[in-house]
Amino acid sequence: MAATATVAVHLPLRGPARAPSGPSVAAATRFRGRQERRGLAATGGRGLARFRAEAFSGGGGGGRRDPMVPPYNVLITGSTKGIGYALARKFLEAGDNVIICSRSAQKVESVVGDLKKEYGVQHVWGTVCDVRDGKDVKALVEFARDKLKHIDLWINNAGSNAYTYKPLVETSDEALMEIITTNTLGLMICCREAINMMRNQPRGGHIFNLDGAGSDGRPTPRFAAYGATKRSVVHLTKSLQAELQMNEVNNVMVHNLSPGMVTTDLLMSGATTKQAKFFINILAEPPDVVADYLVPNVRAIPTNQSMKPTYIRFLTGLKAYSRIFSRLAFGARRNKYVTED
Amino acid sequence: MAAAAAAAVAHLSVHGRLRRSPEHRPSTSSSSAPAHRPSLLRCRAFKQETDGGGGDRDSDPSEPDARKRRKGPLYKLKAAIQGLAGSRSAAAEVYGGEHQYQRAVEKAEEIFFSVATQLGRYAITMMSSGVVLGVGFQLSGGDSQMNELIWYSWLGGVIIGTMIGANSVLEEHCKAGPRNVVITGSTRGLGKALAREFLLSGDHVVITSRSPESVLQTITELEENIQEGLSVAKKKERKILSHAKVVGTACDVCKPEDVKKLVNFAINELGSVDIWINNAGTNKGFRPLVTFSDDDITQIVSTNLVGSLLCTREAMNVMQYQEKGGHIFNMDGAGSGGSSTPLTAVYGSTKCGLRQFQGSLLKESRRSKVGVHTASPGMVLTDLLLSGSSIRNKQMFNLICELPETVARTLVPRMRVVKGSGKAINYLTPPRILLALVTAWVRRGRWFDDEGRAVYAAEADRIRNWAESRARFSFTDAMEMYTENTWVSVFSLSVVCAFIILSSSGGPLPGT
Repeated sequence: MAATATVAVHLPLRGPARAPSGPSVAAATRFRGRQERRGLAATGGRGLARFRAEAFSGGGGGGRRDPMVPPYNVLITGSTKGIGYALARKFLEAGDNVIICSRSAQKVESVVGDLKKEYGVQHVWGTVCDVRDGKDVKALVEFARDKLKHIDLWINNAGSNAYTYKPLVETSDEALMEIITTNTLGLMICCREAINMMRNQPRGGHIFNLDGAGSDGRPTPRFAAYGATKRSVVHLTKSLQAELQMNEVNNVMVHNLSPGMVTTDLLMSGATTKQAKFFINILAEPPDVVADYLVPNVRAIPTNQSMKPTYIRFLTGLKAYSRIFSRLAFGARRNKYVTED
Repeated sequence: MAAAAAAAVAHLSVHGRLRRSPEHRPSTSSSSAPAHRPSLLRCRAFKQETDGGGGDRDSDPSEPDARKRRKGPLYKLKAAIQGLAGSRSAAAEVYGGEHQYQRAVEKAEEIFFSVATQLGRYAITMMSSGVVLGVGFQLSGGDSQMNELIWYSWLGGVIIGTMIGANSVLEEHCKAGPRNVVITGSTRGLGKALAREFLLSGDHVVITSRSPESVLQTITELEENIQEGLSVAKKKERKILSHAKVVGTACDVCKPEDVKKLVNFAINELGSVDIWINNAGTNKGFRPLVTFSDDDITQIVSTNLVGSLLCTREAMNVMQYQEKGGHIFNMDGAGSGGSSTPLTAVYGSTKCGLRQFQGSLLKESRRSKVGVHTASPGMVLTDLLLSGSSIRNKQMFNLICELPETVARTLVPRMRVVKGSGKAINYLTPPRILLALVTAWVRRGRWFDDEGRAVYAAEADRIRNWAESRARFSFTDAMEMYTENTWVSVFSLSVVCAFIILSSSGGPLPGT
């Protein structure tokens, strides 16, 4: 009973249905799989490694995958403003095709209009999509298929803090719901649809999840709910990496993308306390600067044909500490974005 | 709406039943007047409510001496000693009746017993630390000169240990009495076991779940458990048990208005909430993310993450205005520590998020009276774990899993006496893991046989056996009578003292 259930579970994750050309290939695949398993068992440590034993002969083998060549097809959620918009512009500048989406039809229309004027009609498309709604996300996938055939890079950028910075006790029901449903639920649905779409693509695909404050596990007082959701995003990425590897889906990869502190509405709405202002002035950067750094790094992953999970960080620890030091020592970046008293 | 009404009707209190059935047991006191005291149990049961203030509606009009009871045990002890030493009439004056006198003797006896227990514990602890030191000294091949120093250091350790011990005893004394506990998702699995364990410790428990039917069913079941417990309990436990009271209401933790209703219900029924346990959690089987439907994901996220956040917020809202504050527990699960959880990606990531949330809460509530804690049950044989597990998994479960009752029995005493904020109460502590690994061979086939069939007893049978074994004395219970801190502090302090004395004596230390 249990065994059949497991088999059924693993079936949907098998790679594209490219029939193996005879028993020898199948045997080879099986053998490779077994070897790999042994290696993994030897490394050990992972608690649920035993599940792997049931996962048999995956598809989408590394050698058979079509190479990913530019221009890439990029899909960015929540991309009509802030960091999402900046990323979209940078990708367009690099010559990629971009699909943008957001909750508001009006904004999508105006943003797509602007970008089309600037980068040409055949590079940018936009649609309305509320990531919290499974139907909307499925429609988004259909839209992408329709316009671009396949998606190489899917960037889960949509996130919300309901623009409130308050202790949990004072946070309203609506704010809590919006934060959790957008950041966690929406992202999970997007990941699911993206994996579903990409594992059937000859070129495979890469998914990038944006992290945020709290994703390293450090506490985030005044926006506890946001921090919890972002922590769960990083954990989801990790679990998905393990899950895909376990099921031997090796043409889809899930990565983390850390923009650090970006001077968007989401961050600036919290610039109310002295401490917050201090750190915003020192560490935050405008979206363009962050996108300048992130986009080449993101594009390097398909260019190098790399299939390893990565965590691209804009604001590394070293950078942050050196900035704090220069602020304390030389008073650099005081009142850069907001005036401190 | 209908659910809440039904649950309100279902509210039954155990002491209500006791009132109807007066006890017929021989009095153990030396002055064996055959006075049966059905009223004793009753008034004890209401003590907490009058103390807590607010929840006083139930006060029985047949108790004119309600005010006298509040004068505290010390006063009673004094009066009782007077009564014992002098004339009976002196005590009778104070209490105005033979029954009252009996009660005073009972009370004094109880206090004497508890004092004796504490003294006995104290003596045993001190002796044991002395023995440990002495043995250690002998083993290290001590000489006669050092012997004296060792015993001085032991004396120092004893003095400091006494101070610490006295502190903890006082605290324990202040904190005695039933707690008011709310447990979400408590009609199945671990939640139910926790509720039962709290009840058997004599607490007032609110149970909740999404379905009103299962709440009703669980209430009746738990009350039967209490009755069974009463039938096997000895005198002192019986008294504690008689406080137990279980009420319940239907509540979907991911709906804000439901959670608000639950809080109001708890306040109306119990007067205050001391402990709130966010136990409700769900997982829709072990499978890859791509096979989860929208509804599955929504349900997991909203129960685990939204539910815990909403409940925590509402509980904090109530507790911060309570005189005694309160404690909130969030349940850990697979993924809390940050290790990846393939095939349960959604569940794992919500639990991981909750751990970060705990850290943020800790900072936010630093100055408030509310304590936020985590409780980690480890792996428990419940539906949540067993749904969709394969034979191979079950082989592993044999090794490390435990029955919910076992886990609850360890967690609950710790939850009841928790102090401060930000504590983690874990079942799977390193010694337990070590034990599991060492006894791995013995544990094969403990819960599941080779074909993955369950070999453990059904819940009802388990409870029966377990209620009996509870009544018996066990070594682990004796160990748990001490708080861990007492052991650690007493021993380490005597060692530190030894070190200080040894180093300060200086001079010609042989062999160094």
